[in-house]
Amino acid sequence: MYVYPAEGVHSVGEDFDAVHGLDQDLHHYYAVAGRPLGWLSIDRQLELLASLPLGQLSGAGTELPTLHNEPMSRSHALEPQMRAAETGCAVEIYMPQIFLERGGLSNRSLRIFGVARRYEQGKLTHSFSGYAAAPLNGFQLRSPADAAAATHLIEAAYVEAVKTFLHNSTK
Amino acid sequence: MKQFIAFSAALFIAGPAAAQDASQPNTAEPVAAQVAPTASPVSVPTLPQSGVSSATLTSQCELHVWPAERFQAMTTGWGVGFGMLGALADSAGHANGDKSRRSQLASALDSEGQLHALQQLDLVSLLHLPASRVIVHADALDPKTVDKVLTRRADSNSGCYNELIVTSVFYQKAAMWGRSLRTSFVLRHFEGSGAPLVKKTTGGNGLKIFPVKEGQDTTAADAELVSVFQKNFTEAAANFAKQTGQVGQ
Repeated sequence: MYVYPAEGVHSVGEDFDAVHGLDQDLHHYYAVAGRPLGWLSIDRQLELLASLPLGQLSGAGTELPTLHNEPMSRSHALEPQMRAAETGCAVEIYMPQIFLERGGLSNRSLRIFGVARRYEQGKLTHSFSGYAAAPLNGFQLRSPADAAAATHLIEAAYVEAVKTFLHNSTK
Repeated sequence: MKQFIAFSAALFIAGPAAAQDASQPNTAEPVAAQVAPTASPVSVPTLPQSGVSSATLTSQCELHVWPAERFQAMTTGWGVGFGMLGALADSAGHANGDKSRRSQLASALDSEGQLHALQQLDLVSLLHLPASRVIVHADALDPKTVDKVLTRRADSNSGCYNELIVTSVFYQKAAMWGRSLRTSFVLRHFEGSGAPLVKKTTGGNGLKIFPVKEGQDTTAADAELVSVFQKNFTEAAANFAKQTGQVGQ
């Protein structure tokens, strides 16, 4: 089982909420915190992923995953990898994108895009790509003192979103 | 809120264009993304359709391309017909869905995805430019500066220099007209050191698959977004050809 993280997190907002571009919220959060918070860095994603029973969640049984520390872009993740040399079962999990999303009339949430593929004897037998989201209820970042709680909330939402994605991928 | 209502009304009125597009057969095909992560900028020589030899590629002409990082999604139901309160209730009812769809646009049509989709087209030919080297820039321009900065956005002294800027990607669903994707483009021609000749337009086409329900496989829907994005550019390129453009607008 092979697992690849995202390069980092992005934020998406809407014009009606005066958010006109990607990562505008993220820059604002880090400015309020007074420092870059480095949310869901590659290392942190891998730590969080290592705490999950990824094998069970992805239908790969008790297989220990190989966590790769090089991120994959979305387009690379969508290219079927060749696992021809593999014997038995191989599962690839790519989660190349993470978004903090919000709207003027909706609550904040965290969304991931992922790709899951399963190979049997080197042949692709199952492929899934899709999104999973988790709410960020109670998120606030109005002063540097909020940074720790906000970080905790984001990491918990990431874990929930990963679980949901893996569950969806096995349907 | 006034702006919101006015904008909603404008979109509602503009709906028939989307409806015409939505009636077209779905030509979406899964597009396998093949672009490797690239540092900005990346030079990609392209051959115009008219059989130009490779020697032409040494031409001085350049076409620089930037993607958009402004994504919008708006769903309007019948509530917009019931005044401000109706519009507000309608907007609130679709807020979570639009939030999700906005992220999905930002995902499927991220900078790399937009540039890859455009590079699959013969940009130079569609824009009726002389044989040009296409140079793509991975980082989007700050939307606030697109109209204000009238100098070249790339470090180039080429005597034949053009810029294609994708400025926004907009998903709309209207109760009467259905779903569509609209993309805005700016084309700037520079000659010498003067202000550019600027053309602006949009392309819009209907969607039949996007968006899918939460938790479902999005392969086909994402491929449709890419395909319609390409159709929008083709439409926009035809619009550019009809425009005379304005200097420094």
